[in-house]
Amino acid sequence: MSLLKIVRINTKHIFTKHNETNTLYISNRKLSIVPSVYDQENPAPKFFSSGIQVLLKRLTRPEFSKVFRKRTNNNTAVLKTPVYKFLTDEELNIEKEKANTNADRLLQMPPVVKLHEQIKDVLSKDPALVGYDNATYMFTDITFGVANEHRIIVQRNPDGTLESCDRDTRKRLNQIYFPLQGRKIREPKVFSEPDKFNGLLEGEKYEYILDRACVQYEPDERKYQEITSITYQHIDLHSKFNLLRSTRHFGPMVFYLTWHQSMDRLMLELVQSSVVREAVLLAALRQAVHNDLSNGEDYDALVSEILPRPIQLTKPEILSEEDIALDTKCTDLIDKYINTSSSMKSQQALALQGFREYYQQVVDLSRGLKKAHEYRGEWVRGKPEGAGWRYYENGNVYFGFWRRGQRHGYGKMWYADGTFYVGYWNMSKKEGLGMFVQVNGNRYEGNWHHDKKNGIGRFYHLHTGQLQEGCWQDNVCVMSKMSDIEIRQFCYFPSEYPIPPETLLESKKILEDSEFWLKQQIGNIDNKLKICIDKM
Amino acid sequence: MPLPPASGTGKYYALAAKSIRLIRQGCTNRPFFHISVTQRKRLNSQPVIEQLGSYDPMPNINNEKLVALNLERLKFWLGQGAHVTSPVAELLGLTGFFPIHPKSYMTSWRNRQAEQDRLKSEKEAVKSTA
Repeated sequence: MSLLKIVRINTKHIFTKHNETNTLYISNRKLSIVPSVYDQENPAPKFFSSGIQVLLKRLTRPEFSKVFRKRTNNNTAVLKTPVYKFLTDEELNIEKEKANTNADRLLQMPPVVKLHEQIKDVLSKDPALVGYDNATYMFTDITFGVANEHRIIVQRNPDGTLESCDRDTRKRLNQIYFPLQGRKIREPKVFSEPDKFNGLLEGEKYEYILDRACVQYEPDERKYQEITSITYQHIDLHSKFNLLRSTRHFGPMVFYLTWHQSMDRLMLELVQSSVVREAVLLAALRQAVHNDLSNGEDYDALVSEILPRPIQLTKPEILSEEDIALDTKCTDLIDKYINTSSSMKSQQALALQGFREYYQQVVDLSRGLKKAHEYRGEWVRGKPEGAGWRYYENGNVYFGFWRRGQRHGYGKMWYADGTFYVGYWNMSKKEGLGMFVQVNGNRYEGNWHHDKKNGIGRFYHLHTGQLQEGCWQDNVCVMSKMSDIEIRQFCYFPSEYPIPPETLLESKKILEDSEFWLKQQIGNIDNKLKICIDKM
Repeated sequence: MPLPPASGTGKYYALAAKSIRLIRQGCTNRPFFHISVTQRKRLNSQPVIEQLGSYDPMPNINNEKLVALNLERLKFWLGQGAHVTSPVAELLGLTGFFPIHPKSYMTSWRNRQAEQDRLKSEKEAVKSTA
């Protein structure tokens, strides 16, 4: 629609001014953008509805480094000394909350409302006053505590009529008696002189223009809407959306483009910069404003999925499975949107194809990385076999030999709770000789079976300084002999009395056989363990 | 000399007569008036009870004369029985707050008459030269 307008107006100028080449050039440049204002339907109810506000805020993609950037402002010191503090988690959360509320304040969107109507309100006519004065008398009620828009401002014309002032005069008088900071009584030259305004546009000072317009004009003024309209269209034509991101003007711009059905270039930019989620939000915005998409419920469902997720400020390098599922859904929906309702089908389809290829690469990469994080080592027929490292999800680490994806053979295992096992494994279970070290240093050396202490072994109670030699069955010691180890005195909690040497002859006789047998067995273990520990 | 605050600095007696009047505050060749309430027997150079508005009799670039009025306080002082001088009453009449002051009608009638006379004399002058 706007393109037609452009063509029509430009041709008119070409026809009328074809002999003045210089003027033609300037007029062409100036009029290549035709401002459109909100003068038909009132956009305010839609703009202020909570659903659309949420979408617009999310599409703004607030990046705190830009929101809280240093500004050259007359009132605040430009450079403040940063304060570094150590904070507890609660204090940090409070600070984060504060930062969020501050960011919300800085990102408050200028309202989008319908153009105001002119005031025509004659209070009295008194022809007997004709000739009283040549000047108009302007009366302003300066009663304390009345808002600017409700202030009584009337004028007595030279012909004797008393009437309410029009909008411009009201604004001027309000500015005289109750000045707003930054607003000028005379219109600034940047807005009144097209050359200066165009210069700013060419220099891409969009945020400056919009900020200045916000201060100078009311949002329901024609001039404000024209200026913002030209600026938004200029941004749209040159695809400079990034300049306005993380500022308060991005929401109204998106709303403007959506309202005038020209948000396809923004959509293209979103797909090209591979932010499909925001592309879906944009399509949902269009659905909410115009209700002209065929599958509206799909958008609503997907938006409710996207909104709880954190904002993606940078391209993600590693994706979780949930992310992948969501992004795939988004891509499919955007594909449908492009095919059915877009006005830039070919370009957007191409961009989406590019995104799909890029996304596939990222997915492959992140899935591959995940595998690499799980197991690193030798593989046979798709399963770990041979020597390899394995990082378990619960934090355990295994290094040793593998067979058909199971721990098998000699290997070491560091458990997440701080314990450690070194020895032989059989199909992921401790089997054969092994040493198990507890967190406090107490350790068991000996035979294992089915993940449990089974068979001959010895247990060092290092904190009290005893050695327990004996036989275990399913983690339970069935027969053992306690004795002191040589360094008992140097332990953390040495037992109060040493175990006395055996004095009873009878007991010696009783024990003799079993002890001889035990010693033989343990001697064997000693040799084997020596080999085992040497390997470590 | 800095201006006193609009709430006024003058001491006054509750039962003394008050008057709402124009007090000239401009400089030479540049009149500017405050609309103030003050005790009736006091001079314009003395501190006032309260300033109620302002009146700029010189037309600005848009050919406008600006008048500011604090209607709320004005009503209060009128309720206290303050006397209104005729220049202020004329302004309030033009505002639509009071009925139009007879003086305004007289002024406009005189101005119209003067204008008619001027036109007449001009015509005669043209005739006599012709």
